[in-house]
Amino acid sequence: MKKQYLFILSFLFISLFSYAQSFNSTITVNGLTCAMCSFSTQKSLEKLDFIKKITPDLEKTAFELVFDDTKFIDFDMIQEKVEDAGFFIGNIKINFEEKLNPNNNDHAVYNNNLFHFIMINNANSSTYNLIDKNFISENDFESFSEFTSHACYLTGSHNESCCSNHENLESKKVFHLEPDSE
Amino acid sequence: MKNLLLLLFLFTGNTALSQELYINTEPASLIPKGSKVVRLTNSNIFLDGANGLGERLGNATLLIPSLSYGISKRLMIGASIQFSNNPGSDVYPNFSFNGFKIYSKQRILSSDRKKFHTRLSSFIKYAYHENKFMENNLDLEIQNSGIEFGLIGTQLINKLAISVTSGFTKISNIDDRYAPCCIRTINLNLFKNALSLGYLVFPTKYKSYKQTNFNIYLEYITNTILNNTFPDRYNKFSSIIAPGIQFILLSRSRIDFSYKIRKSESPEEFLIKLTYIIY
Repeated sequence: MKKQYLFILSFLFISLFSYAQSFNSTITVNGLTCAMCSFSTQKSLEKLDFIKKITPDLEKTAFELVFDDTKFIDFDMIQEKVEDAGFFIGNIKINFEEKLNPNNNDHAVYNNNLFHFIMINNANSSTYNLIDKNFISENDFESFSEFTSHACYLTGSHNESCCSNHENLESKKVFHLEPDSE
Repeated sequence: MKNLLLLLFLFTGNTALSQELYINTEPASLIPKGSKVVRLTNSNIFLDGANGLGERLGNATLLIPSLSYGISKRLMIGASIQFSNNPGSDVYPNFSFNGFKIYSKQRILSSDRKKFHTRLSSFIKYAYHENKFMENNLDLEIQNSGIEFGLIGTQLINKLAISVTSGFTKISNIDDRYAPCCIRTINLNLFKNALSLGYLVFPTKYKSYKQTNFNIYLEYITNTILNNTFPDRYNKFSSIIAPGIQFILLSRSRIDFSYKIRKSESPEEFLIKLTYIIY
């Protein structure tokens, strides 16, 4: 009962914004030890139509991705393509054009993506880490879970019972972000 | 399972080396899903015996085109055919079809950290070959027929890679011509082991896909006959040491050179391998 109350309460504090601010992403890939491996990963990522441009940083085994603003960016597909090439995502950073100052549990739509901000430290930042279940360790996921009561962090999707008001969005997926401290 | 691999790694010594695109053995990693690897191997075996007419044997020359395909991130398949001359034949040593191989590899375990990865895979291979170039050798890769299956573990840290392959080989249709009573064919069971080392020499810093990579390799492949009795022209234990070098061009094609040194007066072999990846 108490949990439910908390749940409803948390909804009252959610601010809903929609922005046309574009974002790009920097992904680091683990296990890459040769240019051939990086090239395979790049070729696999090129199959995604929502990525406009890929710039590799071979020494850091990272890729900078520029997205098509008109499309929904499915970070799960990015992970799938990296794994198809035989490797794993280290982390995904999302870089916004400007610094954001969201409150904990704020939801906001950028282009066609719904993001949910989990703010442990309320730092202004333009760079955020993707902290959904499949992208971070189990321990990290558990500690982030303590900062939100939203079911969407568990399910990764918005629906009638969680994060409603987004029915018009193309995808049911909601991705979760925390400010990058670096 | 992880502990087992770690143990394996510690046991083989962690001074190990890099790049895992081995020349004579397979790494535990698979090719990317949906990609095709086209390969052409040219191999020369320096035979030193004589044929039935008493003429000195020339080199056996083998040409092996192959194609591999990544079905998923967990499964790849490959097939190759072999064309070769037949210096041991009493008739003219024509260049013709001499056999084929089919191969599949399955990922069992894959674990990565930054510039560090661990892979464990299983493989199964079937080979059919008509001519045998070396009467005293068993080699499913180039001249014998049979089936082989086993496990491959690869550990890669920065520029250093080490692989261990362990498997069981059943070689069929061995001609037991020196049997006391009569000519008959037998099967032989082998325990196969390989230790493969690879080290990335250039570049020291990755800047672009256009940089040519240079890798050096050392592979040690052994076969132990498990049968109690076998034709005495074979050694119970045989081994190959194969040093090699490799150039990776534009991050998608390879040129490999390797020299296979066989134990105990068996012919040596020089091979060149060209590889191209189609995404």
